[in-house]
Amino acid sequence: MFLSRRNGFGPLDKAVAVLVPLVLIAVGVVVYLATRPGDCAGGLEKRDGECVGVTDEAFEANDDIKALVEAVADENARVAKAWSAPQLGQTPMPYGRIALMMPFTSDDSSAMTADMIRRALAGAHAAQLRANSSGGPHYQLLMAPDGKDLDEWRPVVDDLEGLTDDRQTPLVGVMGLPSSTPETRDAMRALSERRIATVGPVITSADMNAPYFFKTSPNNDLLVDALDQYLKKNKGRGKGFLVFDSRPDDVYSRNLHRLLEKKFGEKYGLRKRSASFLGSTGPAAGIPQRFQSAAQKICVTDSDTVFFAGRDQDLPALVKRLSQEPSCDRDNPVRILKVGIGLEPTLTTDELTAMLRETRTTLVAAASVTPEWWLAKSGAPVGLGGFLSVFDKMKKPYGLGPKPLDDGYAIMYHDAFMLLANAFDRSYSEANEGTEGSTGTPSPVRTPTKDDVYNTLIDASIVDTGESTRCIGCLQGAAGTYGFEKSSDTDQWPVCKPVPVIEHPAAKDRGPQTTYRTFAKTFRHPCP
Amino acid sequence: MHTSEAPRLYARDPLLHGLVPRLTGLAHAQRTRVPWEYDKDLPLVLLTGRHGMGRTAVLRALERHYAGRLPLAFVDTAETPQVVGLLADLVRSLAPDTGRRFPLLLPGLLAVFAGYGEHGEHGERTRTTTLRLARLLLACHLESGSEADVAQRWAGRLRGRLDGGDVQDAVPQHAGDARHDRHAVAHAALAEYFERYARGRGSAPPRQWYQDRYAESEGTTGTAAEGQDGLVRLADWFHRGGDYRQAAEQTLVHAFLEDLTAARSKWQRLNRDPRPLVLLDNTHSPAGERLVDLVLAYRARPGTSQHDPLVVVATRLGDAPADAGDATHRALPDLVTSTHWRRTGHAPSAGLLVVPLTPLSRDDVLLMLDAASAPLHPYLASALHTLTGGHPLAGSVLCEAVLDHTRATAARDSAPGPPAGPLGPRNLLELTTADGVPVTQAILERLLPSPHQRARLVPLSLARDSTAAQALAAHLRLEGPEQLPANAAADYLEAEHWQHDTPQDRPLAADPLLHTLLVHEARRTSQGTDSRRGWQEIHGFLRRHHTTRGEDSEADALRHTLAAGDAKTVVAALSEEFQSEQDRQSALRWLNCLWYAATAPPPPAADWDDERAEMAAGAFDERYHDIDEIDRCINRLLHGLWYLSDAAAEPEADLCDDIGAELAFLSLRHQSWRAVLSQAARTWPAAVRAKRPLPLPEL
Repeated sequence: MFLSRRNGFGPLDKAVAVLVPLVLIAVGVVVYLATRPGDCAGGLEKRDGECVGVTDEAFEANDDIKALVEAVADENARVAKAWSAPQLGQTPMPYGRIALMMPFTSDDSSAMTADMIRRALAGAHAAQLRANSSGGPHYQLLMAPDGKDLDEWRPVVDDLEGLTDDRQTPLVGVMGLPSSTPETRDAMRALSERRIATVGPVITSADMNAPYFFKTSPNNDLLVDALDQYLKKNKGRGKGFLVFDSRPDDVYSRNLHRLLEKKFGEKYGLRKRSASFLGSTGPAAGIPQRFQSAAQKICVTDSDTVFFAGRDQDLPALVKRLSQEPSCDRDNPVRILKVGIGLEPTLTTDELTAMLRETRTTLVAAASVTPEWWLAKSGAPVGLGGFLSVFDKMKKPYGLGPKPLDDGYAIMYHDAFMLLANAFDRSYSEANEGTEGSTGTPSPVRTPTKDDVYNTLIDASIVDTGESTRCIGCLQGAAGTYGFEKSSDTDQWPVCKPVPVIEHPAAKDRGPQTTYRTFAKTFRHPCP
Repeated sequence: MHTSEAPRLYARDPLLHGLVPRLTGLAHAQRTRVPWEYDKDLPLVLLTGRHGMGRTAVLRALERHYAGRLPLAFVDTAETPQVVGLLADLVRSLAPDTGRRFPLLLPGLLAVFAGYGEHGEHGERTRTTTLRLARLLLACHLESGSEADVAQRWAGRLRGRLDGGDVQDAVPQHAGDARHDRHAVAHAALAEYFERYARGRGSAPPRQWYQDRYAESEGTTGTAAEGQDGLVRLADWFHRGGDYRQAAEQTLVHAFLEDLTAARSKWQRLNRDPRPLVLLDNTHSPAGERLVDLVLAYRARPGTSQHDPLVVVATRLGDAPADAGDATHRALPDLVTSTHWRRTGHAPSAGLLVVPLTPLSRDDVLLMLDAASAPLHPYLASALHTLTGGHPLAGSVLCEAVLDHTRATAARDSAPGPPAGPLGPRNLLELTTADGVPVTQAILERLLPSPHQRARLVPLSLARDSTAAQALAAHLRLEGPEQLPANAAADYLEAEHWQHDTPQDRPLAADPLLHTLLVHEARRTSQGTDSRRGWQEIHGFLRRHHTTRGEDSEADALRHTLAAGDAKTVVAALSEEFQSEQDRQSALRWLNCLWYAATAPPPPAADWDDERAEMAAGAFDERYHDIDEIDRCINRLLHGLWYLSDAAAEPEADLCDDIGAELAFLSLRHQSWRAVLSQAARTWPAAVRAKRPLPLPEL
């Protein structure tokens, strides 16, 4: 047996020679399958280590949004069951599908922080629950993660396009698309090319335009206009200074920088009174948030009106730096003017608020929402109440944390969903007007397509009656009542969207302010 | 280049590439497995043949090709007088490559060998036995070191045990009793073995195995002492001799085969690992024959379920044993595809597959001469083949001699000097081997190993039959222990399996090759004309012997006359008869006489010039101007036939045609023999050309 192999190989030797490599390969495959990173659940696919795609089921998510994702999946399942296998005595309820396309994962430099994601998802889910509890078709909220850096949007867009062919449960539209980054712009254009109505809830870059891309938030241009309106009433000492994010690939910051310079550059001499920093959002390009020189310059120039062209995440660092800057004269108050969807909770922490008070600094932000609406209940939009009644119930079970509404994401995502849902509702009832009356059967004869939804959305909704401005089919959203115009001036930006200006810390003796309404100047009469 | 290290084997491929690979499962020269022809029961292959038929060469070739590739043992059974010795040799060869190292056989051999020792008068024998034991222990990897060391250690330990007396209690003491001494030694040896080497493996199974075999005798023998187990009884039986020894040998052979069976794992069987191969040379020797018989008997046990995996290829001088009635006989060509051997009946010989080794063909001879460095005579291969009859040993020795000669000639030609004459077919037997020994002597030494008998046979081979040989022996005063030297020589030839019996009317050596070689050797060693043992003298004596024996011996007398070189007398006698006789019967007798006389061996070259071919062609007719035409014709005819009767002579077309022409001439010159002679004139040339016996015309 242990002779040298000069005596050839027998059948068992050959079998072993064949089997051993096979077994090794099999073991290798098994080990690989057993040890490789967990597969994506819910029909998502793995791309560059992230699960991307479109799903109506629960998938593997971070703990802080797991419960929400499961809630959405449960609701989706319920909606699907109500159509395909309704309970005894109930008529099948048709439903449409709205895709929430945004990152569901985050890290230190991702486009959305974990908090943002959680609140955005909560807002969208709240809208879904609201829409499904009222009459009319129901909605599935499809979750479409496109990578934490938004760079895996291609497969997602392909998947979404595939869903539009479904005649019974069509894809109504897409919402989400958080940041104004080049990837978002590409995704937006790709979706628009496929004629899929898309809503960006928190997009503010004025150049994020495509025919099928609707925004529920005012753009930076409008926000800066609102700041302008504020500054005209609160002039201060008139010494301006501009701090801007120098990241070349951040569309939002560059757009804001350009707009601020255009609006206030001349008046405040910002060309010579400015400083730049490297924002923390985006790929590594150096040490971010170096505000030392900016703070020194602000103090040396004794500026009281500091324009901030950057993202909210970077603002606390500037405030801290300013408070530590020894060359500052603490006697004169300083205003830091910024724009945004709301006020990031990180900007209103007790520590930062104390710091602001100490240095007599005030944050002045033109935003889509203001805490005043739900704290002071003053000037709150009509649609906010309905949203809050649903959202308040979600705070605890889903661990939404303190000040869940402040950054505006929940409200804006809610509004985006509502915008698509309303459009589908209207298209649906219009399409089935005749049949519903004559036969009385709830089964839809015609299901609106994404094109019908788009046509409904783009339909001019704000009309001038000659005596006043009236809104036909406007969205009574949680962030105001507003509509869209077909005209090329507005580029699918919201019309008559209220833009409140927030002061933080709020001055105790602050008088009532006139709320800026977007594109209000184009109407002879004030917005409704 | 033909190297002596790996001599090529001719015409044995069916055996080397067919049968044995199918038995062992391993191809002869390739590293590939071959499907087994027999799954379980294996035939014992017995190669038979006379001296020089290449039996040992086949075994050597098998050994050369299989060594190191499977468990292999080559044993010349003629060198060991006892079966136990053969078994020990087999164990030594097989053990290193066998998985289990003979746990049954080893204690048995130990017990038997131990009995040889410990007697003062057998000191030398004891030493060899101990050495043999040491070799066994080394082969089975139970000990390490040099043979002498191990032997010394073993002897020391044994002595320690004997002196220590730990076996004294087991064996009752009878002082001076050799049998009980043996018992004590066997006990000590077995105790040493089992305690030192078999402790881990357990001594119980082997002891039980022997115990079972001797269970009955255990109960019946009253003298069976306490603690005397089967192994000691085995040794006892062995040393009693006779039938007891045969039974003990049978037990040991069974143990050997069962060890081999047990050593083969299931994996090895299923994997078709090559089977162990045992090559037993010269099993016509007593021990070899006994071993073969025991193996055959083991395999023929009725109801055998387990078959041993041992492949045995044995050789035997002569034919298969006389009692092997159920053996299967197969010719070499039958072995190419399948032997279709199957055990029929319960006779042990049914397990025997007898393969007689056959002579080589002319093509093989041609191949053997292929290595010649210079062009050879075109008829040389044919002549060599006719001369040797395809005998492998004679053929190879002659071919080697031819190749040596061509090499030497080439070397001489390149050097200055007269070129040597070309090597013709007639010079074949005059060649010498590389050592300078004449080829006939070299071959005869191998074919007839006994020098005494060989020396006796050389002159006696010149005699025509036993009577003449006897007379010649008496004349030459050949002496020996036997009463009748010629009969003793014939008996020797029979003992060496050259012939079964020696007919009275034939030369002593019936084998043509042997006869030719002996006659040539007689011619070569002829000691001149004066000696009593000279060629002329012997033939003169034989001529006289036949002349006195009567009328029927005329042809023999003429033949010996011609062998002595006296062609003239023969021609005169033939001529006289030709001219005096008339009837048809005497014509036939005359033709027979002519033909028979012409088969005479030519005289030694020393005192005779071979001018037969020239004479036949009529080149020296002027020497015979004094005799008449018919005599000259008979002279030419006789020389022509004589020339062509040489085994090595080339049947040249001219000479053959001349035979016919001379006979036709004679047929016209005789008054009544025309029909007979002209018929011979037509048939003889063709027969001579084909080297067939000359046909006598039918009456």
